[in-house]
Amino acid sequence: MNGRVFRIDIPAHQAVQELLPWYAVGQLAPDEARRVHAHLQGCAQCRQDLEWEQGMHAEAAQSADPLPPGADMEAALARLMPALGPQERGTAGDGRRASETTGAMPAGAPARWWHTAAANQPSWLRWAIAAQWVAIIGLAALLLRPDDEPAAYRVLGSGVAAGGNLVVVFQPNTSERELRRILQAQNARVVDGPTVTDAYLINVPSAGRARALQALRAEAGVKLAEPLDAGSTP
Amino acid sequence: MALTASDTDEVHLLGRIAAGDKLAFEALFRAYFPRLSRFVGRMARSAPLIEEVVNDTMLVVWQKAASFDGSCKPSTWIFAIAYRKTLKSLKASDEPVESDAALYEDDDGNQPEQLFSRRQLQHTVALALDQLPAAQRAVMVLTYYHEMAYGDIADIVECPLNTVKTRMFHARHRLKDLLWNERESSR
Repeated sequence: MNGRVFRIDIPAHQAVQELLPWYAVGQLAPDEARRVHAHLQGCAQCRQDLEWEQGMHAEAAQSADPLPPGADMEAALARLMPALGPQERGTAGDGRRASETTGAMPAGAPARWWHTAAANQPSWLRWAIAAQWVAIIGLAALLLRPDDEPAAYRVLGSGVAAGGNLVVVFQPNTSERELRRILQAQNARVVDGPTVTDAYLINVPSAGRARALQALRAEAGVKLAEPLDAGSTP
Repeated sequence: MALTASDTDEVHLLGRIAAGDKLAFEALFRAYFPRLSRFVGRMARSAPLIEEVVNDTMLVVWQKAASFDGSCKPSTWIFAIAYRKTLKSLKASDEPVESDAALYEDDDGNQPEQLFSRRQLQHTVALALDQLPAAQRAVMVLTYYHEMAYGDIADIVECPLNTVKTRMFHARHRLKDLLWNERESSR
């Protein structure tokens, strides 16, 4: 026992200290006001601070001029009225519904931007998903965009200019590994294909084309191999 | 959130404004111009800036009236716009907050044994407020001069409740020191 009867409850004192300005201007919820009132009975420091707060409030009330010097309401209004442009259509109803259905915020809490920025907010998600669809459709359109020279009108002979000198059709059950081996064995490169008839236009070194043709025809995986020359019909 | 009769009137006005009613807008403008210009004036202290910021604010009210969703008081919504516009204009003008301190220095304030008159006190408080950072000043002005609850202030300055309380706590200590210094130097 140190002889002191009262000990200040530090957290409660600090909480009341923080609330004093709003107690002085009469802007506390009833339960908070009661709590501050009760604490003031036993705390001389808070009573003294409250006096200062009331002084500040009285000071502010005294100095509340109708308008700051130089501010002219009629002039400001006359400038603003002709400048009123079009109005934005509101989304208030949507935002309200969103907060009510998710329960992400207490009822009546304002839906401010830093709340609605949360990733699980439907209003935010709607826009994100809409943006995703725009991106998906855009990319799909890029992929599906027809070439300058549509494949339906292309004849294999037109590939000659692009460097193809053999046409090969592989057996339907040829694996990609097998196909790759066959082509690599002849030092061949695919220039185009598969076409609608499953043919590939390939290029082999022109010096060894006849030998490559023989070799290709000897492959079990090759159904057909034909030379391709400008002007010839495959 | 408890709406007073005047809040309800303002909600009604905002509804009419959202429907494009210019008379309703004029009524709201007249109701808010004095309050907003006092608020902006305490924040910015420059007459041309005050009217500009208030008009910018009310233009946004006109444009976005339809987005007011009734989740806060109309005054909270409008002051939040005014606060953002004020900060933006302070940033744009890059005006030092103490720039016009000289306007508030009274010659007779330096006379010894001068009684601390009310006018001087007002100037001293204004001077001291000017020396606070804008975020602290806004909380103080909205509390003392506009008698707003800390919940409404949190919505206006867009920060958590506890931040408003601690800003106010620090601002009061700072203001007490500043007022003490002002008084001592003018004695």
